[in-house]
Parts: sequence; structure tokens; C-alpha cells
Amino acid sequence: MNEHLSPEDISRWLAGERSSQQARHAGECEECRARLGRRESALAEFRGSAHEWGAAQPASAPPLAWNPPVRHTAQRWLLAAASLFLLVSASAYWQHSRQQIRAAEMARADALLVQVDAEISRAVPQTMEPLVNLVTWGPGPANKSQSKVNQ
Amino acid sequence: MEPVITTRWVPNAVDQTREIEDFDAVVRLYWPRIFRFALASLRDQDAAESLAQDCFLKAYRARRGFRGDASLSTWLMQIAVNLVRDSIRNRRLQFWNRTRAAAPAFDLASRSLADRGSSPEGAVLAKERVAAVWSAVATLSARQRTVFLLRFVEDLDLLEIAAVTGLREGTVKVHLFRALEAVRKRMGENQ
Repeated sequence: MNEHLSPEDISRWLAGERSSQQARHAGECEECRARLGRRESALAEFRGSAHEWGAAQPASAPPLAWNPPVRHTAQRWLLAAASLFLLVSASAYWQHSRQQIRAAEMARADALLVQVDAEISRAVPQTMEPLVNLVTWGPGPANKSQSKVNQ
Repeated sequence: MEPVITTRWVPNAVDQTREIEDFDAVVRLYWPRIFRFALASLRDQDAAESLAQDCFLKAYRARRGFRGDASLSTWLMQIAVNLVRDSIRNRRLQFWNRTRAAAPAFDLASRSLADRGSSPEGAVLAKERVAAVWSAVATLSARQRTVFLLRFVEDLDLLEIAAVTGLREGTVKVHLFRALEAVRKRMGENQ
């Protein structure tokens, strides 16, 4: 083979694909050998730069001792359980508060009903007098006196 | 074309499984290599360190399943390659890749050449060549870059690269050829 190696041939060569003819030609042809050498030398410089760059980093030194990593599974479970507990507690507290408010409202409503029932049953309404006048609305003396006047 | 013979001595499975028992020694031995590959792939020191840690963590957890079919180095590199691929999928990391300079590599290369006694002109030319290769590597597809770095930084042979990446040897050659062509064009070599 008398043909010189093309740039693509050299790339193929460096990628691990070469024929025996090409190998023979490269052995005989100084020019091809020089071109091949230049490409190989550029790659060697690149390799050197990568190695030196890596070695220059503090992190390139291996850890002094490899401690088997602590599995954080238990911690994660604890965190999840704590979150769940907080969620449930908050929900329960909210429910409890709502129930208390509801109970207070019911108690007030019951008291009002008892009061209404007691006052209406005690009072003797005049003819065509509105029932509203028979009930004491609130603890104020004005309302009580008004209620008595109405009686 | 004759395929290049790319066989290499691989320790037997018993040696490999014994070796992994002393995981501390495994980390000491392989950490620099894994870190370097991660750094060259991601160009981010923090990400590379984090990736190396993840790699050994995964290996530690999976060490009972390691049967020594492949070499320990290949097995660790497989894990690293997968982690690099996952990292590259992260769009934010790609953004940081673009913005963070990989200049230290070029500076180191030139400094090292100067230390070796190269002339100032020679050092400048070498720096330019190295910069051109790094620049070309940045434009490669993730797979081409991985194959290129495994071959020309980690010095793995084609069969090892095939084992690490899960590609066929022929496919590795194709990726390598394309990567080399991209580098050649970036370097302006048309001879």
C-alpha cells in the first residue's frame, strides 16, 4: 500500500481499527508516522492534563477510612412517624376545639330554649300580644323591666 | 480491517471477591480513578466528589452481589458510568457545566509541560492542543464522551469499554472514531 493514511484512517487507527497494509505503510512512511505521532501525542497531553487536573483536587485523595455509610432509614422512619404524629395531633386538636365550640353553642341554645319555655309558660299573654314580648332577651335590666311592663 | 486484539489480564473471580471484602482498601485503590473520570465527565469538582461517594456507596451496598465475573475496576467503572449518565440528564447540572470553566486542566497541562523542560513556545502550543481537545470533548454526545474518556484518559481497552458501557465492541469503535474525528476537526488537523 503506497497511499498515505488519510486523517480519517488515522482516526480509525486510533479507534482500534487498522489493516495490516496500513500498519505496514505506517512503518515505512515517515510522513504518516509523524502525523500519527502528532495525534497520539495530543491525546497523551490530554490524558496528562486530565490526570493532573484530577490529582490537583483535594477530593481526589481517597477518604482516610471508609466508614460504612450509616443507613438513615431509622432516622427517616422516626421523622416520618413524628410528622404523622404531629399531623394526627393537630387534626385531633382541631376536632376537639370544634366539638367544644359546638357543645358551647348547643348549651347556649338549650339555655335559651329553657328560658323561653319557662318565661312563656309563666307569662299570661294579653290578647293579640306578640310572644316575642314575653321573652327576656338578655340579662339587661331594661329588657327585664320592659318584659314586666308587658306582663 | 483487522480488529486490534484488546485482551488484558483480568484477575480471577476468587481474587476479586476476596478483594471486595476489604472495602476500605477498595476505596483507597479506586477512589482517585473514579473521581478523575467523574471530574473529566462532569467538569465540576463538587459533583465529581459527590458522584465518587455515590459510586462507592452503591458498590458497598451491592458488594454481596458481586461475583467477580468482571474485574472490580470494571464493575466500579460501570457504576460510575451509570451515575455520570444520570447526572448529565440533570438539566441544571448541564447549565453549571456550561458556566463553570474547565480552565485548570489547560493551565495544569501547560505548567506540566513547562516543568518537563519544554520551550515556552512548545508549552503554548501544547496548551492550545489540550484546550482544543477539551473543547471538542465538551461538544461530544454523552456516550461518545464517555467512550473517549474511558479510552484516552482511563486507558481502558475496547473490550473493557464494551464491558463498562454495555455496548458491543464494534459500537465502541464507532463512537470512538466519531469522537476522534470531532477532536481532529476542532484541532484543525486536515492533513
